[in-house]
Amino acid sequence: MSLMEPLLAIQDLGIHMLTYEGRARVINGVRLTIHKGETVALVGETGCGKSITAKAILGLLPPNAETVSGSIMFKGRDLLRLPEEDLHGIRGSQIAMIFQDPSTALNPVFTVGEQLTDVVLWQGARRATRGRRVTGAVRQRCLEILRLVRIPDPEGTLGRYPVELSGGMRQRVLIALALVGRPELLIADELGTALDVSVQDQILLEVRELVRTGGLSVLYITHNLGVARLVSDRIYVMYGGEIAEVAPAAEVFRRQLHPYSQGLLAAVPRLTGRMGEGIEGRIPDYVNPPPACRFEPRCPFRMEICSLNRPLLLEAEPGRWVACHFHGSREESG
Amino acid sequence: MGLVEAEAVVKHFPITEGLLRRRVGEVRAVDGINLSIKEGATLALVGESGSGKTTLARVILRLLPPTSGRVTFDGCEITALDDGALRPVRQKMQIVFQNPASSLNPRRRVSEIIEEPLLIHRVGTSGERRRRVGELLERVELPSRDFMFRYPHALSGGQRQRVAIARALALSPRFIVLDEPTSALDVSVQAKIITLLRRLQRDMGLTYLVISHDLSLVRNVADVIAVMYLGKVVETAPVATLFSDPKHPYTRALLSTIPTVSDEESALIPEKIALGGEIPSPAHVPSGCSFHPRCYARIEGCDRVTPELVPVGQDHHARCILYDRAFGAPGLRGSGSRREEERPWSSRWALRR
Repeated sequence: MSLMEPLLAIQDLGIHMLTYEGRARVINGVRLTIHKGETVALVGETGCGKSITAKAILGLLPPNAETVSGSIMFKGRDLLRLPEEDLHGIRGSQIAMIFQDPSTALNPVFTVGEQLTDVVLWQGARRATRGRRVTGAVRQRCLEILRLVRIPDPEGTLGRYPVELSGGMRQRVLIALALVGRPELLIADELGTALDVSVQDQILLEVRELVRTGGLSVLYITHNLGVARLVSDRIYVMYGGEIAEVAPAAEVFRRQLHPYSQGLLAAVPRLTGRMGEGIEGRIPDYVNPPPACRFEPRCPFRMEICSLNRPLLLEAEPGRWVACHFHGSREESG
Repeated sequence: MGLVEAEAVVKHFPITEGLLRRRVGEVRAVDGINLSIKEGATLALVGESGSGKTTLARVILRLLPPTSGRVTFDGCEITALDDGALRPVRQKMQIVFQNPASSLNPRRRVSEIIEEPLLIHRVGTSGERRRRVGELLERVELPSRDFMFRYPHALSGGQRQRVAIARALALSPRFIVLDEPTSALDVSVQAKIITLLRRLQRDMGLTYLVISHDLSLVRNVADVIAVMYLGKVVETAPVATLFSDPKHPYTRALLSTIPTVSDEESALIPEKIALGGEIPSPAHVPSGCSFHPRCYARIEGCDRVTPELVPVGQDHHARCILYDRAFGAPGLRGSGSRREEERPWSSRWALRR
């Protein structure tokens, strides 16, 4: 990677959730960087902590979450230590999020136009110097953004309610809502996975084009490995609240270093007619996680050291990082 | 003759308006479908949401009465039976729903959930039923002692789906409809459920109808695939044929959009065909070939004539004017000339793109 300062750098992020069962250690030392213009995918299965990581970036963690360690540096400022009002200025206008489910993320009682206008005006208000709210200009901006996400008949769409739109159109409106503030970093949570493949494909390709032309950086959160391969430059594989492996997308699909990534890829049904048997066991209990490597109880290659020392995320090959003792990494005690 | 046969099955839902429920239109959810599923085989229905897959499956199980057409199960026409006569047939046909979190009653224990079909059909004494529940839990690889008395909320997604499968197996059915059986599950769990379903099929000689939108999954579980679009089957073929030699423009486009995870697979799918728009509402089916507004291979006449499902190869049928000899298509010349026969049409496609 370049020596340039990354746009976003998460270091040693630790988040605990206070639950009835006790203190759940849901994010444990997560590290992630996104450079300008780069598309990064965070992949993993349900409950591995992908969405919590995304929410931590935007400061949208639920009230029972407690950040216990780390920093999230965005353009030289630590988002974890920023006062709420400064975060307000960043959300939407510098970092925007496309939420997962297009059928629930839109407000059903307001028209598309009202929801878009809200965002435009709100951002105008943040940049207070703009002063006057010229409705004509706001409308122009809304139309412009709807055209950008290829909504046919943008004028008509402004006056429609979300229920009048198809799933694909709703997803496009959500993308428009995220892009209208001209963010530098876009976080897309399971983009398109609620849609049919042909529509999902259209949306992903369109977003990829927008990213390329607009110099956007994107963090995709997805459980779909095929989608991650299609859209991203680099992939972070997450397991049990930790980063298991980091690699360029083109390489990780050819050869995986971490046993979990290997198991995950092997379980994907292939068009060649091969399909693995899945991974034994289930995700760790976050209240009492395995003491060292969190994948150790399910790992087919486990060694004695795996239950004693936590493997560190280390560079195994140029550009490829893995947290696994099998790759001869130096270990951290305790 | 297959175990399950559907002949010209039609299911229209009326759209009514006003106080008098005046009929103003209809949703053509299933619009004339013929299917045959061989005993012990797996047929997969694929298509986008709104294509009528689930409605068709419900009509086949007679959970919905068809508007017209016939469904036969093991030679017996079930569309003609009344509820009483249907009861014994129902034991032999079961369904596993998409989301086990909502298809299992949260207030019943696992043992009660699995026992319920036995109670409804008054099978065995209570001791026999309890033994049967234990046996079924073993079959779906859940240790019965641990799971018998749990509630669904205390199970993982994969375990819940195993319970749903055990319930479907309770009455020793011959035919099971699997409606998106793994789409609510993670890939590593999906793989385990599919392995289980395959083993059950082999051990018990089950016949499956799988509904799925995941083509990579279907490639691994089905013997025969039927691609649906707006209530009609547009192409049907044995699984290997459909993936290696798709004929219908819609099938080609659908295959080209599959997100793959290896170069090896990417080489197997057609060059990317971006399909514009979305599937229209089945309440407003386009004229002629219902796919024509989105079709990249559209030619003169596609908006007027409705093509039939015509043979395009060994056990391979497609519903497209390009292959319909009635409209001047060359049809099939012989088994070896498939490539040649395709050429005039593919060059025309190239022009259109």
